[in-house]
Amino acid sequence: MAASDKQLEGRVETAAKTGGRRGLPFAWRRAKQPKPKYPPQTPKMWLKTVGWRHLIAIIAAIFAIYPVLYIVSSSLSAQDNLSGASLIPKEFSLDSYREFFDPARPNITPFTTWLRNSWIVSLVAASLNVVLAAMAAYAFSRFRFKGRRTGLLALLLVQIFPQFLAFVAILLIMINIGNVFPAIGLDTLAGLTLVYLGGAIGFNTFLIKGFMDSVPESLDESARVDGAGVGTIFWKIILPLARPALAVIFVISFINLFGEFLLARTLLSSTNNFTLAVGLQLFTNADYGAKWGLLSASVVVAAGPIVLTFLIAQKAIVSGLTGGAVKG
Amino acid sequence: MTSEPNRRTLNQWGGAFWFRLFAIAVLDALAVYAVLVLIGTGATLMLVSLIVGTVFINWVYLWPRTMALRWITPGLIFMSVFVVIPIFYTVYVSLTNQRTGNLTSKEQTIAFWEAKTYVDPDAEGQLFDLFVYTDDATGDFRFLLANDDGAYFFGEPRLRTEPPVEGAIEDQGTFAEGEEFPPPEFNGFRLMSKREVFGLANNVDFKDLVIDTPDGEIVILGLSQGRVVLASKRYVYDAAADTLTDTVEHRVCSPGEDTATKGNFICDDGEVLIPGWVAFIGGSNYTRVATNPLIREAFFRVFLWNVVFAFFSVLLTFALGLTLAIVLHHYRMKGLRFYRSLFIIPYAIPAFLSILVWRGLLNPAFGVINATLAPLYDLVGMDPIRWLSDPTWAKVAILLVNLWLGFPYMFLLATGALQSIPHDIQEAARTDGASGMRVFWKITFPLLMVALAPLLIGSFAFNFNNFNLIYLLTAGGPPVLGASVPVGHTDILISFTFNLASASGRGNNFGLAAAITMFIFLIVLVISAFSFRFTKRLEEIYGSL
Amino acid sequence: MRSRFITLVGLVLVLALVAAACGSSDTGEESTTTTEATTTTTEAVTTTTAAPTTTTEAEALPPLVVWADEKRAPVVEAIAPAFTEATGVEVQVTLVDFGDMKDEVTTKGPAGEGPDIFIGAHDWVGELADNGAVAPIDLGGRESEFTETGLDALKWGGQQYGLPYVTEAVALYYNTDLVPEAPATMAELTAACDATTVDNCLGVPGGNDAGDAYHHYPFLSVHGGYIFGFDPATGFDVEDIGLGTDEAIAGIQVLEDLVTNGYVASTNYDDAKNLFMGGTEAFWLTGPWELGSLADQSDVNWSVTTLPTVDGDTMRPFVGVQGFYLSAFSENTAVAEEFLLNYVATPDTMMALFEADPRGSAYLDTIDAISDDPINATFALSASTGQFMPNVPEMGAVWGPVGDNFLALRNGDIDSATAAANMAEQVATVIAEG
Repeated sequence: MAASDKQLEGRVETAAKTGGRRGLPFAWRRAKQPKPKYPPQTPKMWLKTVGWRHLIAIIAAIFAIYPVLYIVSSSLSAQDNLSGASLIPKEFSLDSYREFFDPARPNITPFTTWLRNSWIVSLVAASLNVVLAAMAAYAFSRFRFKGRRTGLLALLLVQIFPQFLAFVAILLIMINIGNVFPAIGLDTLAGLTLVYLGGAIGFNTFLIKGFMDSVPESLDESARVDGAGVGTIFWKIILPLARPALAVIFVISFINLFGEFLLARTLLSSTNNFTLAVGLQLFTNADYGAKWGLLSASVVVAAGPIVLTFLIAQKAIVSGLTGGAVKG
Repeated sequence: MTSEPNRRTLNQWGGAFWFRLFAIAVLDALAVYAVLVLIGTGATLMLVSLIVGTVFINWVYLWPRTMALRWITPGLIFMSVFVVIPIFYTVYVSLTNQRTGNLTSKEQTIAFWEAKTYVDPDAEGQLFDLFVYTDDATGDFRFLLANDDGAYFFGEPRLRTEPPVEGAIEDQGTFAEGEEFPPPEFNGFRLMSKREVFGLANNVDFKDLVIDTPDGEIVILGLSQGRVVLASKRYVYDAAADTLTDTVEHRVCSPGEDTATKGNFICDDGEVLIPGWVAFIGGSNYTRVATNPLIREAFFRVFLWNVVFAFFSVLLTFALGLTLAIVLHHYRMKGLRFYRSLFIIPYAIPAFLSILVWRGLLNPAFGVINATLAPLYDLVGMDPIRWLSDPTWAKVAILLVNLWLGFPYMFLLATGALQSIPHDIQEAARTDGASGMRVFWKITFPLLMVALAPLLIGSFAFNFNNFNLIYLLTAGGPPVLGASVPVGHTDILISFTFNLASASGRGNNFGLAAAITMFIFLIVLVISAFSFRFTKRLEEIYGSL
Repeated sequence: MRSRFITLVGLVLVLALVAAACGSSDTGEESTTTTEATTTTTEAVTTTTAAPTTTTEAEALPPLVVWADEKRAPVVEAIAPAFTEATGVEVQVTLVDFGDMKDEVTTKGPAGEGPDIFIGAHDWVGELADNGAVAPIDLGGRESEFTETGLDALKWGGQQYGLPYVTEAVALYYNTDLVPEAPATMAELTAACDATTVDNCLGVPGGNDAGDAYHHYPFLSVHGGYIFGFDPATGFDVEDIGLGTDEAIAGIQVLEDLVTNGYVASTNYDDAKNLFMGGTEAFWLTGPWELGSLADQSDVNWSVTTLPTVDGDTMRPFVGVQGFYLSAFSENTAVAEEFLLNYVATPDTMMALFEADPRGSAYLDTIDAISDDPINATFALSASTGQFMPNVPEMGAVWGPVGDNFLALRNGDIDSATAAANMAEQVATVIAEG
């Protein structure tokens, strides 16, 4: 017997209100289960269940990496321009990488310093982003207060304003901050990190709140009975449970900040303080892409570790995805 | 459903309280220090924000019944400083005439005009070498100026802004051939080393100095030279009347009164002195945006494409991201880690670089894409697609590139959302006999939308102002032919209006650009707020926010 | 409640004292820089400002901040030690993208975060001067060391702004394997094209997907078209737009004929470059900044000649000048000027600047030194036949429309008369409405 639409909707409603909210989060429960063994399939069945899935995934993967292959190829090629590039380098050479890591590089383009700056700023800002957003999400998820919905909506709407359009204002603010506390003012990595924290809450809060809603409040309740305060509940119970979701937010923030250059370009002025994105952007503009090999090598060196980290850390990150970045 | 957390645990006098109190005290102390410094620099807006912010923090963390705010405030502070204040600043700029020629404060402008000197074009004058002497006992300074013939003046300089001094020259004459030059001692003064002169220049700008000779002034040009010219200060500012008096052409210039001239001095004879300063001109930038025939002419074309672009960017990236998430979401699926890593690669590369690569790939004559499609073109008998210069294909290309750039984000989100939906609901529906497709569209998808709709709205808002992509890929081109205003087929509101604001008449018009920004912000805000109302309905059916 | 408040006030007071004590050394230094602005009396010269910190003069000197792009910055850095040695003033070189320079100077300058010296193109001078962002420079009788075009291009309102170091213009590169002899006229050029089989004969940037007004100007100007009327006495007249004139149409028609007859394909900057460097383009119209890539990255045998004449008329390229500007927001323009006159305007530095980026020089001594090389001499000759790019701020309204309509013409979408009429109308409306 097929269920009617109405029945289905009703089921969703009940599930969302009971199972989704009161029940244990799926990932949390599954983590305690042993990995199941599935019976073998016939090739025909394989095609029907996962075969077509692999086909689509492979096509999408080709789409995703196709332009990137050109970058990798030209970073390994002895030829130094873009349009002449082919998928397989005509003359294989590691010169571009050697040039990138050359300790005797002219101090006007210290690639390795830029790379280090990018990692520091992105790591610190992304981590703090996650903490700030998680704290705000906790309030929106666990407290009932006046203007709660309006507040959350306001956070989302304010975030819509394109921050980079007001870079002059940010510049003036940073000049003033720098007048008082030079260590976090203009042309400092700490100052740039502060600016990046401006975008911390907003969508991130919304995402994390969705996840926290799925953590049953019975857990808080029992902890409270044991005498835990709100702070303890947050740090000891909610955060560890939300860790997977936080990992996703962290990855998204980290990657976004790593590629950000519009604000960074305005705020940083000494070559030694540049982030890699700022440096590379300057480099592309200036040389008409003449040093394409070196540029590609920098991209590979910059993006490679990110992709690699994602590959290795997937267990944590994906279980985060599994746990649900949003409420169920 | 949720109860207010136990109040007793919040206000207890434990170690946490003392820690909080101490932290607030440190913060307040820093704030007091910052206030003191800021008072010195006269940054009023910053000062007010700082005080308001500090009071707010004290209130939140010291008074009871602000429990939720205590958790939100840290993020809120950063958001206020770096997002909200810039919004207010943009509003402020939009109410001013800030543009090329009106970028500085009124004080800076007056200083600029007062520093202007009038040099008789016929009296180019003689060039002198400058040497600075000092009396170490008194700390007095004298200048020795000597020309190539050996003729010299020795005397005390004055600031250009001060009245001329009679008898400033204490000694004048001619150095004999073969005499030591410059003399290390002169009239009891000691010759300063170059280093010392530069140290002195730290305290006074030599270009502000002149020395009066019986024949006229010697204007100091730099640290090692001067020139005799009949230079005079051209403009004098009268603070009481708020006017500049032109002493050369004998005219009086007063600040303009109406919108067009506010922020500039206008002389009796009608000449407007450029540069002027930043002045309030009320809402006239807004009326200009609304009534400007240039903007109106192309507005609908651009607006339409802007909505189409933003909408389809979200739709396509979401569709692909979700499809891939679903495809990988199967218990028998292998190689997940591998696929997922490949899918996030486009996201991990700085966009401005991948856009450059895409431009190369899309090049109609030399790009890889047309080379790959060449057999197809031959088969169908069509000309190679002019990817970035044909009006329609340029739009397709933009959506394609944006799909590539944006789908990993959607994939990440969709994977997360998908896996968080409890299996029991779907299983239950399945046992009720619903087909896989129906379960997806009736159960899985609505639940996903509840979670993701606000993020899709955010993505729409982001793409609506995706200046970077348009600018780097097509720069708005190809141009719309025959339009009386420069506009391209792929221009979106922000790129079109910014081109106008930066190419308008004389250089940049920041006031106009800010008004435009606010207009676009309002448009997006309205669209988003409206969409959020819609998601609220979703939630009412499927769960509450 | 009350006791808590009192505790807090007490703590704040204590910590504020601590912070003030720690911060006082900072404020002390701050006051030295602020006092120098306020003490504007003659006594300032004789009695040094009463700075609380008695530092030696050399230490107290603020550094000279120079903004330069990645080509010029190393050269400036190389001469910095000598200047510091002699004067005790440190030179701080900041790398700023050439394309961002003007905006950066105008936003950061008024806020007090700008440079003392920056490099830039001459066509910014009108806008910079109108913004009060640049200070005039007195070359102190050394005008004769520079090219006249270089100096004139950096003049605004009768005053000299900036010290020129580059005078450059496009010329015609040709592949000597494909074209044995340099063509002197357009007819010879097309004849040479007919004699070869190449992908594209004459490579001109500004087709395909990116408009380019600059490289098309020689066509616009060949029969007497122009952008703004120029009078040496009064400068450019923005009311007099020469884009829609019959002369301009005739010039654009030359390009249209080349396009319709297949001599000029719709190539953007990179297309034209890659074809020429790959040896499948006979001619390439562009500037001396590509000499480096040709030498480094191409196996093609090439040479350079001046632009061909059309029916006896000379194609006049745009002449671009680059110079060192003095910022009007500089605390001490005298120090900056000293640096420019005695450390930058020297044969060695000017030669180093040329070597860092082989565009034509604006310094006569350097021009003499490099003109033994025929390539350099050709570019210099080409520049001498050119017209310098208008330096009025209204040029902002010109680049877009002119480039766009040339692009449409290159893609075969419009003819020369329409292109000229569109350009003229769009430029006029934008200027009027701006």
